[in-house]
Amino acid sequence: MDEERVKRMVNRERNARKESERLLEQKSSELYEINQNLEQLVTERTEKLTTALNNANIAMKTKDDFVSNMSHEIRTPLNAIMGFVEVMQSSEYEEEAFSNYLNIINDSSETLLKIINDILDFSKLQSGQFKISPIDVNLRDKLQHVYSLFSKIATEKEVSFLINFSNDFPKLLVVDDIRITQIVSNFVSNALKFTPKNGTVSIQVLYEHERSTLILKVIDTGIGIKKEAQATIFNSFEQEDRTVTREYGGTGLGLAIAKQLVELMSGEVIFKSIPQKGSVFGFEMPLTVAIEKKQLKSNKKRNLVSFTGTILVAEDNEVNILLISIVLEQLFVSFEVVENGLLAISAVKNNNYALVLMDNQMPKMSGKDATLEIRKFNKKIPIVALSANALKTEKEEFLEVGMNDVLSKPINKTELLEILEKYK
Amino acid sequence: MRGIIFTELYELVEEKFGYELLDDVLLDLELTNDGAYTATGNYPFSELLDILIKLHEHTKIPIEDLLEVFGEYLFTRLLNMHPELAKTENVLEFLEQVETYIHIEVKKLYPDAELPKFNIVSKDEKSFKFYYISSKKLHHLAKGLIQGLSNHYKQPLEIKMGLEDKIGVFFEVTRI
Repeated sequence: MDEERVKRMVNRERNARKESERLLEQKSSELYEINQNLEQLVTERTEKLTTALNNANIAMKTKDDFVSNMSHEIRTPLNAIMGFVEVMQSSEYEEEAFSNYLNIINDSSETLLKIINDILDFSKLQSGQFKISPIDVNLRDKLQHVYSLFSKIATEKEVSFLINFSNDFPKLLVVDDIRITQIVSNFVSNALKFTPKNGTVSIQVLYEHERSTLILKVIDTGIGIKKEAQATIFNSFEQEDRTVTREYGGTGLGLAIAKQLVELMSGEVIFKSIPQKGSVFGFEMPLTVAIEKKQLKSNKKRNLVSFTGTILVAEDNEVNILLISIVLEQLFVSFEVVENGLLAISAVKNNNYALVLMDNQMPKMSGKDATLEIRKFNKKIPIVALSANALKTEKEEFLEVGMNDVLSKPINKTELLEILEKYK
Repeated sequence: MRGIIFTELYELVEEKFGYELLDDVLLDLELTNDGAYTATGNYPFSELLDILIKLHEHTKIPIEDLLEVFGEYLFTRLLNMHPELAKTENVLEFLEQVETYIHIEVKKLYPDAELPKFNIVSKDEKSFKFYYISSKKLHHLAKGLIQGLSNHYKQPLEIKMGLEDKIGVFFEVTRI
């Protein structure tokens, strides 16, 4: 091979080697950079995961505390109810003592119902099933009613309790009054709970016409909330700390529910607190003023006797039958009882009832099926479901089969009165 | 075009015709880095064509035949470099996996690689039909590669290549 050729070969090989080295160096720096990015990514991810893990642990701990606190909360009134029932069963009747026992049982039942309702509301809010139903409401009346309900507690605690409305407060507002009173009741009940003797709790209600906004504040001179607890006070299952739970009771759901309800109605929560001075809980909420119609139903005086005619009660549970019988007797309303859906159908066929109160889960035929049958020959008769399950989806199912309304069990006298009023 | 195609072509030319011929071919051409290619670099496809044309001028062997022989040789070389890409020794299955597996893996290694497409037309135990699409029109190289596959696994194949149309070429590969 001639020398020139060999030179070229060597040169070519050398150049190829240099080019290879350059490419290798370039690949190395690319790899180095990828590695750096990867390390950073791993660090970031690890930090995020650690935070998530911590949060999950905190959430788990909070829920555990909630469950143990809740079981205590449920057990306390239940123990009272069972205990006093037992006392009454085993003692001779004595009017004053028994009346006291009954009051305790009644209070405990209400507490228990409130706790269960809170849990139900909370889970409905969590799953987005909660629906707001605004209607034309005299909100001043509704809030006065809340005020009068709590006046007794305020008097007992020797706390001065006030309610003020702005001068031009509208007569009618379009709002879900049940939810508003629920929120306000929660704020007021907390304020009274945490305000010691000789303190003051006042409800300030203002309507700003220019902004069409309702501003409601519950102001107390109570123990206030520690700075460090203020940020989480509206979180579910949180109370200021475990001492508060022990001393004042409560499920830690009330404020979380109130806040979510306010937000569901496009409002914003107002909250300020100074430890040992007091707290302000309230909300701002856009609400429109309703045009006043003549002769509003809610303005009518309720007249118990105005319900004429006989009610058919379809219910199989003896305790429920007893309970509803007592309530109806107290209202001087005549009624008949049947124990299943089949009997209900033939009873409606053969008599002229003014209203049917229909349980759903009954032997032989359910309330829903019986309603479907009744609607085939009687479209007019009002049928009201008696439901142990207050979920909205079930209510819709009742309405779908042709029922007119739903009453939640345990039967509440006021709600029953409203139904009687509506279908008299 | 990946540098490995150039470096392997050099190897083949040196092996079959000797270094002098390769030197003569390169001497006539103006190439990147004076033809000092490296396997991991990327070079213009036109340079491969220039080399093939010169090679044809020196050897009088048609370019199509040169490509086929090169393909046969290249298959074993590539397989030795990346044995992990051969998931089967059944040649027809191997062909099927070129599009569904090998090209995907190659793209991971070399994201800028421009790969041909194998559109499968039909397949059964004995034959495999596909439509080969390549912007570089290297179907003769593909034919050589398939022949290399057949040689490597000692499974004789009949490779029928249809006429080239505007987009690509039909291949029918049958076990003998």
